[in-house]
Amino acid sequence: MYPPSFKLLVPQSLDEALKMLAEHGGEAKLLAGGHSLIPLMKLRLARPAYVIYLGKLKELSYIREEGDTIRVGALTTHSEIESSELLRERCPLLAETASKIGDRQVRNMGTIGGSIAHADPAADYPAALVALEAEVVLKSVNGERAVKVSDFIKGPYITDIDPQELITEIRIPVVNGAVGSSYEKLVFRASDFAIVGVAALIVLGKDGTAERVRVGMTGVAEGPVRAQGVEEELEGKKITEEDIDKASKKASEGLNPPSDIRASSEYRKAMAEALTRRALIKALSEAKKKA
Amino acid sequence: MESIFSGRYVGAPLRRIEDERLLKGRARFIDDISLSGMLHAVFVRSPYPHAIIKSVDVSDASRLRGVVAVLTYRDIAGSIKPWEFEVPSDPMYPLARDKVRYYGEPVAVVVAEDPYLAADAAELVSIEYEPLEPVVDPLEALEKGAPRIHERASSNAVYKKSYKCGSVEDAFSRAHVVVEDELSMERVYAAPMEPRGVVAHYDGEQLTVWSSTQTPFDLRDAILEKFSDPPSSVRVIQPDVGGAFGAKIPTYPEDLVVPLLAMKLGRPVKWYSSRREDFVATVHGRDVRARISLAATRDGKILGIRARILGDLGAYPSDYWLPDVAARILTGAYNIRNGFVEVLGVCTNKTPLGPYRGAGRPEGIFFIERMVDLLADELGMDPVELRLANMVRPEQMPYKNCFGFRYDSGDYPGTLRKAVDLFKVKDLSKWAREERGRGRLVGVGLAFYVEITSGGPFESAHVKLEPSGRVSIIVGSTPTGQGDATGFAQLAADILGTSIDKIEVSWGDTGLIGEGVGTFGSRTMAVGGGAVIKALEEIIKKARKEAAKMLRVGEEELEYRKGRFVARRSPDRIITLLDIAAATGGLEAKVHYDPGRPVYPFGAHLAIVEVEKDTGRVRVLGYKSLDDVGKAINPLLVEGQIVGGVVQGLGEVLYEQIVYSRDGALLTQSLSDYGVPTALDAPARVEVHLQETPTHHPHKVRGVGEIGAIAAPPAIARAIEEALKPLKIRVRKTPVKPEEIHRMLQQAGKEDDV
Ligand SMILES: Cc1cc2nc3c(=O)[nH]c(=O)nc-3n(C[C@H](O)[C@H](O)[C@H](O)COP(=O)(O)OP(=O)(O)OC[C@H]3O[C@@H](n4cnc5c(N)ncnc54)[C@H](O)[C@@H]3O)c2cc1C
Repeated sequence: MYPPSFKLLVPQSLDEALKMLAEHGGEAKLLAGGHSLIPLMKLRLARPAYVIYLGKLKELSYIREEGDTIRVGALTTHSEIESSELLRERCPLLAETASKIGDRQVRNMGTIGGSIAHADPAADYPAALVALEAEVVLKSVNGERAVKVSDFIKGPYITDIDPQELITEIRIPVVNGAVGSSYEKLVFRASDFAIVGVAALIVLGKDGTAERVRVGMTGVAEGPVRAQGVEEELEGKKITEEDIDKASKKASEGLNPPSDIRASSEYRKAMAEALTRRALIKALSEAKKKA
Repeated sequence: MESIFSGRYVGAPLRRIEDERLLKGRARFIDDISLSGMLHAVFVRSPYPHAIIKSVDVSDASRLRGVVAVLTYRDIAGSIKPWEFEVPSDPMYPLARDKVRYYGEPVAVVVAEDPYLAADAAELVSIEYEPLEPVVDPLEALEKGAPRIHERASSNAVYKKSYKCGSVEDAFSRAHVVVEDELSMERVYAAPMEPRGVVAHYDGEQLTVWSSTQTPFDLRDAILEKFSDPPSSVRVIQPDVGGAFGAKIPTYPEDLVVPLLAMKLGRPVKWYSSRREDFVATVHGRDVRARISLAATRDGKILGIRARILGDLGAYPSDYWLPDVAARILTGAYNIRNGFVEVLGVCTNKTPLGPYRGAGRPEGIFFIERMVDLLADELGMDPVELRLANMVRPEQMPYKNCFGFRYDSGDYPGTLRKAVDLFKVKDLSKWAREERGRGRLVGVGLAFYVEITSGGPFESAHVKLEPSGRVSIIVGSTPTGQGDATGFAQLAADILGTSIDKIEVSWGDTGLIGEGVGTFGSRTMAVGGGAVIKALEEIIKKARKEAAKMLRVGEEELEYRKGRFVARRSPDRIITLLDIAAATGGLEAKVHYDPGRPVYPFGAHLAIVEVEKDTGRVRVLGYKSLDDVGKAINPLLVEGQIVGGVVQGLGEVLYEQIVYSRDGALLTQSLSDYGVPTALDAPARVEVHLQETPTHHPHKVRGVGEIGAIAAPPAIARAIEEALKPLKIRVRKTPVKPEEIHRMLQQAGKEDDV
């Protein structure tokens, strides 16, 4: 498989990259880790005239906590996220999710910005990012804007990005207190893309009631979705395992997941429930340890 | 000759002598071959599974800068004869002539200065098709009015045959119990790590072809036979091959078209398949289904078997014999004296079917082992007891089975009993029962198999003992990663009484050895090893003559031991092989070894699995095997073959499946859609036990390459059923996917609680 010819541009700074995008936008593709773009080009499904390589923009590779926000630069790799002390401490859900992406080679190359921009309906991060109520920061020569991940991903491989824009950062609000979380990913074979993935987050109040419950899912819809029925069912309760059993059944409410050679719509719905249950049970036990 | 088993190498678990160059990156695979002035070929393939080719327009493609040639059937029509098959069917042309019969059939080829340009030009080849209705389901292909794939065949069932013994009617009328089921092994793809590829170079006289193949001699012969104007000399080289598993046995269209291009264009040409292309352009395996009945008495004596075996041959019936093997091994290890089996080979609009690790034996053994388990459940008998009660007994050996296979030797019941002890089946079953009581879905499954090796006409070897003491062994065998060179060197070092460092083994080059057969069907250590031994014996015979002269004693006076001849009555008269080699300028022998009759390895495998209740996912927790492989020349190599085969079998039961859409497009065309297992999906350890019943080969080897892939599917299938007890869930096909298990669990759960 050989891609059609293209011109490779290698900006040395974010500003230069943005100028190139302003000039070539519609005809250009940004290249980060290349683990989604290059296969598409080899299949000749993507045929950019220009490829703008972001690898030199070290300024977009960072993980920082500032005020009540965790900021992750778009070029941060999955393995950097997986092994970040800061994230393991302050946002373990994102680190855990990263650790379950593909295999080590993929995690060493792939970036969070590339994953969000690519918006594969089976990608792992989106489940966690909608549960965390994260935002995507987009920049172009005309300025900067921030969009909720849940609004940014519009459908399979479809996002709210302008051809002149570049993702610079993912912003995650810090969650304090007795927090527990878990990302459950169903694969048949090790290192595969998820059939279904569910990220759960529970925050317990002083008296043990669930102040906040968030459940984000991937693989069950056009893009990541929150299981709001489950969240509502559990918030404000002193959650027991039976509550979780009951609430998880709502995870598939209103879903109409795709059927394909890997799994039927029915099975995906059942798995949304099964994994929601697993993720909530783990999240609850984590949260209880911290309460 | 003195026993070859008294040296220090044979039987030792040596590391492979092949590995150093592989690990140091010095291997040369097909894509590492680069010749000056080399051009690159890309094949244009049919996007339709069944269509008439109305017209092909190559003008845009030809005009592209850097494109050297664009060829279609018309351009090569007079140069390469098509393939004609032994069963009624239309010929297969190296580039489709007027009709395509499967998605991916090659229609044109583009040759350019680099592979990028060739791929660009391939997009510009414009082919007008008139789509015909395709048929992808072999049962539908059998229906009246189904689209006909070959005009020369009167139906899509191009191959029909039946085998019988005894009186099956009588057996079924006497039976207390009859069990019947429909079973299948779905279509799979061999997925060698290295896809296929060919490089060819013609210097005006000699055509040199490198192909990632298992059969360089066949390819050379095909070029000589099929080219209307063959070159005066053809040399086929098998470079390092990154796995083959049977799928690199056939000679493919690209194997002929690329050499022809090199001759026509006067420049070297390379074609190297992409993974996507390999999925459509390399034969698929299995795709056999069966309806089977067993007749038995109440106390578990199997009286008869009746079966219909249907193989989906795909578009061209080159390997129509595959379902036949499944049919003839169908009585497995059991003494069943009344039987009837009907075999059908059906053409469909899919990639042609071909050999894949086991080639018919995995299917036949999966079918009989599943049926015996079904009968055991029906009778409420322990499956081990039922097997013991029906096995061919050692005193019946050699034993001709119901459908004509002649099992050479072995104590099947004794082996099964031994396996039950070694595997600690009682303890494991107890553990599984207790765990199930605690809610874990774990199960232990056992299967027994018999299979066939040592096939093929002959194998060749050419051994030279140099005056320097170095030994060169050239073999007609063509290993593709199994490590046979190490085994051959072990044999030679012990027989010649020398160090293994002195031995060099080469293979895979028709320029080094004129005649050979190749590596497939678990034959290499048995038949290829037989050839190496025969050549060594020849050398010792020659040396003995020289020794007698040099020591001035009669030949019969000399005793040969570990590299030296000693005169029996005057033990001070000694001469070494090395001295003889030095004095005579070296000794050499070229031989063919005829394997005679086939041999039948056998054994028992056990799998321990856990099923996840909420998802239906299966994990193989443990695996044990007891295999009678005859003499294990190198137990480490044997273990490698068993473990690899088991993991392939595991993939087949749990993940792997080639899927076509109803309209004939291949949906599984990447390794992310097609589930080859990784090390992470395999049990941490496979506990391998070996047993040794000698064979007629001089080194008593039975063969080992395919047994893992044969035994694992029925063992794992049974373990899954056991894990889901007391639900009466049956595993009828491979793969059995989590979704299906989940559905069965849900259904059963509705009836009563798990
Ligand atoms: C074998 C394999 C297994 C995989 N398994 C998984 C898995 O289990 N789970 C999972 O989630 N993913 C998986 N992936 C995808 C992997 O995570 C990719 O790395 C990721 O989707 C894309 O990141 P990238 O940095 O490689 O992006 P690239 O491939 O470089 O780019 C992807 C797309 O994003 C755009 N882009 C990149 N960076 C930016 C930016 N900063 N701003 C705007 N647009 C940008 C590109 O133009 C392109 O369109 C797998 C990939 C492979 C090859």
